[in-house]
Amino acid sequence: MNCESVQEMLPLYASGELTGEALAAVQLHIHACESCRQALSADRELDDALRTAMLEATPDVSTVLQRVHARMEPAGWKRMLHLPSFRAVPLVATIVLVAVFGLSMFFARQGQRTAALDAANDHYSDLVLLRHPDWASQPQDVARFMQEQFPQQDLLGVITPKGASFEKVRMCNLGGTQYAHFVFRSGSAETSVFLIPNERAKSQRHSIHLADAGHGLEVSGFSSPELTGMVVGAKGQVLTQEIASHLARAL
Amino acid sequence: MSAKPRGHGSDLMELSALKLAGDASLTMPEDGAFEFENVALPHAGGLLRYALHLAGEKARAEDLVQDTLLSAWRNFHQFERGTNCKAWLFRILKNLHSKQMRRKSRRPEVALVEDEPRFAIPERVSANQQIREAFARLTTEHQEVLQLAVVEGFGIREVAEVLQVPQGTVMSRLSRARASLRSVLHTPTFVRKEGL
Repeated sequence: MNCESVQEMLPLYASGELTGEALAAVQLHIHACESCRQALSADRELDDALRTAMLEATPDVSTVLQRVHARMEPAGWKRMLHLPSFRAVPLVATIVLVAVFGLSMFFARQGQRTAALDAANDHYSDLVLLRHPDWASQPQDVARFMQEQFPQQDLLGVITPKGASFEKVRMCNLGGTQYAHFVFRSGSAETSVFLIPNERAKSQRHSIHLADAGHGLEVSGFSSPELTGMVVGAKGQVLTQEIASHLARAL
Repeated sequence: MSAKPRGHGSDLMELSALKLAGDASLTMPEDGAFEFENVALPHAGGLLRYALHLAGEKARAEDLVQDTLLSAWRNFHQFERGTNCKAWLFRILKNLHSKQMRRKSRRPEVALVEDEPRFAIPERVSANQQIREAFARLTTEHQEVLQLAVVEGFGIREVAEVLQVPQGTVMSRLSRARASLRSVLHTPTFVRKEGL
């Protein structure tokens, strides 16, 4: 692969959308070619600077949200209020019971999906947008973090994906729940593992897999007798399902 | 609950936009308010950034975001769970804006002539301000692709879907947009920011 064709593919490479042979070929070329490496690095620097500048000037959206909320009406309540007589009570009770059961199943499932999307967003926010500086990466800081959050387990060795090395960890908020966000690196691939003890998790069966969670990422959930969590990584680069199923067995 | 058929087509969005204009009761068949608030509304900030770029003026941009979110709310039952909600919302916004533009072109208005760049250039501005000013000098097409791919973090495939152009067009447009941004930043008007 020559420089011209690699430069054409750089946007796909930079957004994590290259897979398989094309990804390997571009990686090989960039490793060997100083010029293409510099081009990629210059693009990333420019992107980082632009993103920071534009996000700094993010407009206030509260007025719009107030207007939207004011016009959102749940349809169900209106229909319930217009039911004609008490004859409908048994029917309504049955419907309500079925609806409550259905909704609880639905929200449990949706809760998992929302948590998985939150995890992907957090991975993107932490590792691409670099929004948070509060990582523990020095051995003594990591040891303190692990002692505070997971005193009963010797986790790091168990959760480190095969062929990767531990990089850093921080606490993050996914939809109101505090997860430990571990980051592991293998070459240019970064893998995030989000963990929470089962007693603090809203749902303990994160068996979900999102092949496309946005930002070129995929997410796989897992739960073990002790811990619940999610694995996030670039599509085609990180085998999140494999890692998640390993963690479900190992933890 | 099983996943529903993908509801991202332009037909759906056009239908939503048409209904939105004259529909006073903005209700949806299922009570998905909880999910909508958690999945869709967090993207309002990004939508407003993009709308400001498309509409150019705050009041119009806010109206556009409001229409987008209400249209999404009405059709949320057709959103395929687990897919990228942000990309779905941006496609709706882009579609609504295109529709407004088409309507406008049928009723021509006196255009405001914009001789000067949108931002005045003070003697001393921050590096971030310089970048925003340089960005404002790019063509609309270049601003749009940079905003979606770089600022909002969409992949090439998602940008192509929002803009409804081929992926190859997005990639070449993105390369040209970066080159233009560098070129503007390196003109004598702008103090060169180290590393760019």
